Amino acid sequence: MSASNMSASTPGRVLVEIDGLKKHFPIRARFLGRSTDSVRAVDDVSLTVHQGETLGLVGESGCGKSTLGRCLLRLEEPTAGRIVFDGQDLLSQDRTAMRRLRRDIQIVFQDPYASLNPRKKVGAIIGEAFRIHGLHEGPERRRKVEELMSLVGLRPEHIDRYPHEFSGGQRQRIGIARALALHPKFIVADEAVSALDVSIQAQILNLLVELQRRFGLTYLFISHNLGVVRHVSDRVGVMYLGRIVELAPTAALFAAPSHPYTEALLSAVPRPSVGARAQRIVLPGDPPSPLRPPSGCAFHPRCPHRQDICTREAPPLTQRAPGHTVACHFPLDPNRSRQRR
Amino acid sequence: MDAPLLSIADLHTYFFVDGNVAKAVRGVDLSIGRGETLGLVGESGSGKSVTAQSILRLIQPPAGRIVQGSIVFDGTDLALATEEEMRRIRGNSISMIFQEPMTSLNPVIRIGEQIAEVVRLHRGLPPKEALRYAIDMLTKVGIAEPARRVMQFPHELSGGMRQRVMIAMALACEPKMLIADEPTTALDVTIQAQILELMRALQHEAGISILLITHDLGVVAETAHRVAVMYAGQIVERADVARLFDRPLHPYTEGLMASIPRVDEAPSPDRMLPAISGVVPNLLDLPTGCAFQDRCPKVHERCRREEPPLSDVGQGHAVRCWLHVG
Repeated sequence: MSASNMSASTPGRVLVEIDGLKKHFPIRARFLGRSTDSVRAVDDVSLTVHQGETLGLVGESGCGKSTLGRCLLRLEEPTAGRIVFDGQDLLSQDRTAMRRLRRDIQIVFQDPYASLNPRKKVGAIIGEAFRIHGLHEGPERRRKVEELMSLVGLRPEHIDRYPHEFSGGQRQRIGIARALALHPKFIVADEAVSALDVSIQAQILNLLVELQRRFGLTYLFISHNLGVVRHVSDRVGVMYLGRIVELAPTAALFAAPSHPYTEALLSAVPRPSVGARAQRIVLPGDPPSPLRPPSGCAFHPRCPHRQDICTREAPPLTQRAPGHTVACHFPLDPNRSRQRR
Repeated sequence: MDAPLLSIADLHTYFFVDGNVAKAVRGVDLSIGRGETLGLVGESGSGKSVTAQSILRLIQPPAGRIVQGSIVFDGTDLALATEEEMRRIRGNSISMIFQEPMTSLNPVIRIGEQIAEVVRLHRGLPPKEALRYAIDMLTKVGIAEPARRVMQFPHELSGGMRQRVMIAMALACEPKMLIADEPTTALDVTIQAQILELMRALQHEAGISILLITHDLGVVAETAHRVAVMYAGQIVERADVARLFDRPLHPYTEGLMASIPRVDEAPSPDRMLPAISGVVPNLLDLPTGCAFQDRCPKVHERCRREEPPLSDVGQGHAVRCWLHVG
């Protein structure tokens, strides 16, 4: 059964464990100069993903959510930290072992236009993993690709078409079929529905939910769209400037966020209904540069509740309730009267 | 009510490519009152941006052409105006802001100069005064340290600040109407909140009319007075904002609203969204009858034969659907 009835108190087996993960990008001062500075895209992130659940990861541009996802596939090499996938230390694997592990970890990207080779037929794109891993030779391979196409709602008779002959939604289905080819355990969906129109977005979300039920898939669902994340996730992590600032079961996070940033983020989303036109928390300023993060809590320059200590000390991630952690010196009272939900 | 500031009647804008005709806008009627925000909503290819570009006559010939209809703005039919007249109107009485401010700002000219240029060209202010005016405008759109910012280049500003600069430029000549084409789509949600707030405040202050083009029903619900929903080049529903969100009548509008995953509501236990099936029709090869027929859960025989008219169902609410012919 899928993740929908999994709660924080009854977690499934841990599939992915991330511990103290850092990814710093060095900045070179000038040509041939030594790197003097670095952008801390991911800065000391620890979290676990349970078998069969969807962990949502939200945050604004530059918060490090995509970099974190890419580290899990080793598309980026982390600067420090540990990733244990299905009991194996991911970062210590050699190339051959990593190639085997990659069958279990797949990614679906945002832009179905950019992530498909325009000169290859759909059959070759979806079947590429079979070729790389030497699986299903000859007519068997074609049959397997056709099966995958029907699975994601594409017509198998279109196997010899090129990506440009498909609509945006269909191209995202191609990307999903490709990710499913090797029966992965874990899929990183990086803004997988963000480029799609609303009516198509709903179709693809439904497909992802169905596939998860059918194959017991585990998702890391990265998105800036809070409605989409609430819809698909069992638990949600909120990132700000390279760190997790709050992590909680979805219902708890949306009903009573503990971090002032989470609260502001949720209140900033325009509601598609007129009764909801209400007080919105408008944060001042822009998110700070990860090149020069503010002292103390990175959110303090924009925080309506900041105190002296916030400018000096970074708050550690601490537990508020079972499965609900927050990095804030003055977390919000979960029982306060709420203006908007 | 006063005569509307803008009234578009039976607008048709087509694109002629390789012997084919893409009917991007097929008979749009809409009006915008003074001080009013009209939200024009639709998905990719619905014709909402082509409608906006038609108003400013930004459709590039020979491929694109307004083939029929009138666009009466403040007494002048823009569909018939000369290029000379249009140049006076653009940026003066009607200005426009786009989704990605970086592409509409000149990357090698300082911010202040770009705003000053607008007022120099349109109002003949001397350079010094124009620059002072630019600083005033930046203050107005909420940019801190405007005297320092005018000396900066676009890449030195954040996305949200660039959009503020675009708004400052658009408002520099005190236009009567602002066309905002997905003005917050490229911005993060906390920055979007700032820009929407700013647009509301400026409208309140200056009393300008806004044509807000967006795919985001949330943005429309929170900013527009009236809403028009477009599908395959036509307006399929039009109403004031409260009525549209309370009682959507067109199956497309209903479907669209139901298919949005809500930030303010828990999902259904099975996590299935009521999605609209299928895809938008090809504008080169539209079906006979209603353009939404192949995706409509309420389709019946007449929909495949005859195109429904946009008919008034009372209280300013109009729907293009055979189920609601009033």
